[in-house]
Amino acid sequence: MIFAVRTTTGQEQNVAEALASRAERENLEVFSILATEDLKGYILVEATNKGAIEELVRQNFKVKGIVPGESSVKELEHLLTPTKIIESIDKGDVVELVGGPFKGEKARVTRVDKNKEEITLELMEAAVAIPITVGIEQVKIIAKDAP
Amino acid sequence: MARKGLKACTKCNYITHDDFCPICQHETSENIRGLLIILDPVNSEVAKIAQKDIKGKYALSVK
Repeated sequence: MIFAVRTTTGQEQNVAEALASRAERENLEVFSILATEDLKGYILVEATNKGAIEELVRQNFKVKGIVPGESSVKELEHLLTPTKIIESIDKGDVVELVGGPFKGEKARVTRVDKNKEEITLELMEAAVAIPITVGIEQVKIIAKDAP
Repeated sequence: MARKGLKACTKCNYITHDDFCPICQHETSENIRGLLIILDPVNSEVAKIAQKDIKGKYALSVK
């Protein structure tokens, strides 16, 4: 069963690590802990019962409480198997280059090649728009194109 | 973003400080997102879905 634990925002990964080491130290029946960036202020803990979670978070000052109710593993499937970035990127999106000679520059996507996993960009700050083609691993999406 | 110095294997997502993954020897990357801690890979259903059978820390996505 999956339980959601409310934490201080921004401290999700630290709390997850602290709880993991406590679970190991005290041999609690906790199977896994998930801290995803999509879910700010919460971490997801897999355990046999709520008692194990209550014991786990006891006296941890960064934990704000346990969300009542439980969730099933099926509901987390989309978090555990993230879609490839190429599937979520579209023409018109604004991206930041994270590698290569233009690292740190912002650019607008002009073409997406799904088979080669390459995208063609135009740098936003360049005086003349020169198309450059880079691999999908060299960019991160900053803003989606408004429909 | 993950904390500085942490890297994850580009193949199996295992989090390490090294340049090569201690499990599968693939290259690691600093561009990682999310954290999944598997404490009990045998009983964990999350571990089965994520296809992790070794106890440890994993990133949710690595670029």
